[in-house]
Amino acid sequence: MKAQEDLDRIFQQRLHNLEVPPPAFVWPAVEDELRKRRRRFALWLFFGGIMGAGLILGTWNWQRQHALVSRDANVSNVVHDANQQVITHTTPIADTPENLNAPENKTVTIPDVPASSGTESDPINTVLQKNKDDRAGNVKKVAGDTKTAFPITAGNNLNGKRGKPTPPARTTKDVQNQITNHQPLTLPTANTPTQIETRQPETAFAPEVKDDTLSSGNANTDATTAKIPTQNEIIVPSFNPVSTDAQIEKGDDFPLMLVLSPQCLVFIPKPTESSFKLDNKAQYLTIRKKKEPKNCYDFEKHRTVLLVDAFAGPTFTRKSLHADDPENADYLAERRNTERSDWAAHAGLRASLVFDRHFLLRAGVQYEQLTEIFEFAEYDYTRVKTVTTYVHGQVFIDTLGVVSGDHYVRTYNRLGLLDIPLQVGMELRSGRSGLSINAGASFNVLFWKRGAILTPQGQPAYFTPKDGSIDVFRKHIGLSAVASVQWFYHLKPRTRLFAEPYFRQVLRPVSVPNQPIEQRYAIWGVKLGVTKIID
Amino acid sequence: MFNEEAAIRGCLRGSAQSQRALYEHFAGKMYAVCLRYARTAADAPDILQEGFVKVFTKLDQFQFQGSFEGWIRRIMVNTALRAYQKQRFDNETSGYETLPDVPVDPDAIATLSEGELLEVITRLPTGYRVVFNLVAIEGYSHAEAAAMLNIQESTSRSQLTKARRWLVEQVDAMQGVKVIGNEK
Repeated sequence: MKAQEDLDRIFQQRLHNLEVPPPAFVWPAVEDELRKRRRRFALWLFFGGIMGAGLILGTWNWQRQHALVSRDANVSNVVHDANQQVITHTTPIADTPENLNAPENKTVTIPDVPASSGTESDPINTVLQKNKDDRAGNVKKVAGDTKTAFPITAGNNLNGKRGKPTPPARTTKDVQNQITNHQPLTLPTANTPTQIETRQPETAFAPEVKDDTLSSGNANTDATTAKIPTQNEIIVPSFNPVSTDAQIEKGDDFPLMLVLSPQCLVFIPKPTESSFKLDNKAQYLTIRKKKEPKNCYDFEKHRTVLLVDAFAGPTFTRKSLHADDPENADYLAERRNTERSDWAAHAGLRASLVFDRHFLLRAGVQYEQLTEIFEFAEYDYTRVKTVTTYVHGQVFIDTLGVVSGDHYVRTYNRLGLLDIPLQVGMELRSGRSGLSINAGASFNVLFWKRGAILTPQGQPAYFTPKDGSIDVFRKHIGLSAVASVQWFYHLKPRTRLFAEPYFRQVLRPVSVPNQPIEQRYAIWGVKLGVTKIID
Repeated sequence: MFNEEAAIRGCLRGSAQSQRALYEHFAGKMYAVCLRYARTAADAPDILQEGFVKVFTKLDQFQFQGSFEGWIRRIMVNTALRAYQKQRFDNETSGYETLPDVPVDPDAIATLSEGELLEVITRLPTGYRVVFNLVAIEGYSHAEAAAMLNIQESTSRSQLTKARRWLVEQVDAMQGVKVIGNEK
């Protein structure tokens, strides 16, 4: 036992702190590996960031849309007076026959008065001047009609300053009290009062107004009469007509404007003069709603739909060969000399879930075939075929044949990649066409290979998986990062054509780890395909 | 003059110079460790490379308590063991056998150089070599070695005994003298 302990002790003393200089290539290999890890981390961070941002944006947009839809059943009446106090009252839309027949609900009369045209000859302003003193009463009247009056928040006062909102009134009576206790509006011109009339829906609906045009309104010069907006129009009535006009005339800062109609509730960002027309006679501010182009799918109506894509197209590859060990530099050069890229193509099917109109979750299956040419030539080549026999411990070698000549091998190396790509994206549309931006990952499920390659010994050898072949490539290539931009065009409402340039970086080398040469691929191409929309 | 703590902190900041300095300071010792554990001499640089990549990527886990060299050595040993386990053949493990002690002539071993001793170690069958390295040279107990190699403790003892006997025979062969015990 003592002798054995001595043996251990001797080995421990002599070997524990032994130093042996490592080969010179180890440190560059360590540096290279660290660099690759940093790059991989940055890549994951990039794609993770894109996916996270998409998710956050989608969630935020969904919540915003959800909030707007939930408020669609309510009308928020906001009264904005010259003293910068906003009085808000919210009541449900009266869609029932009883409500429609109620006297207060038959009034859809919102006046609007231009600020700069206040002359005595203007019949509108004449009438309005007569009613100037009744303005406070009119305001009260509107407040009483809050169930049907279309509200507006102008945001700015006449002086171009923003007021502080007061807490919202809880009941109609509160609104009335608050309004009547306020000072009348301070108007920039002397003859810009407001008159509000009540009318039956039949007469209030202006027959002259044509759909899809900027309305000239009802030429009623005795009073200002509002109309019920048609499907293609959103009438923006101004409770404070002068302020609206003044803002248009003076180009004041016009903030985000809340517009309420029975169908929807929308925010209109900062309209300009060219975007609407003020009709003096009818006192309407009519914003023309963009006509729905033909052959466009209505994503407003169907916010969640399924897109099914079939695509194919050309693929381009960039193969990188890298040798960690400088001793393999010659072999690396030989590999590069004997291999070159040939054609490549891809095809696939994909399903994309569009949610919240603009956001996409994509999954599918994609096959890519990469072709390369391997060409090897060795001149004055001699091959000797022998057989070795062992007899009673003795070795006998017999020559079966000798072949001399040029050794030439040319093969088409084919690599097939079957992948399941998973992507998130965002789609922006304009008329019949649009763009989508997508990013994600692709999971390889099959890596199919056929062909030949130069061995480190300088001879061609087949890597096609079978007996006697060399092990060059991995069984699966693993994960790839993918990104693409799609442009699409609607042929029909439910049919699109698209072109989608994409880029794919295979994250791991496709070669097995014990190969002296590391082989990697970056792939890009253009998907050309057709999309069918299913809702 | 190598300042270990400054080099570690530099590596934590991502300084390539500090990484290089740290590598150059410890690479020799660690390469000797890798050579002792590697199945073939060609595997040792791979183990060293993988081990140092782990050192640099997990350096934030070093708590500045205890020997830094010991921490790196442990990483190297674990990396080497993982490489060994990847290539391990099941038939290399065997049960406990009562083997006779083989007398050792310390003088005979002492005459061998470090390089020759290392060569003897690397010629040991893999199963023996790993246990001998862990228990005899690194100082792990049989229980610890068995846990690290996922084998029975008795197997570890058996492997060590066989390793010693094999080493004595090899040293004897290298010296060209007979071990005293064999003559009896």
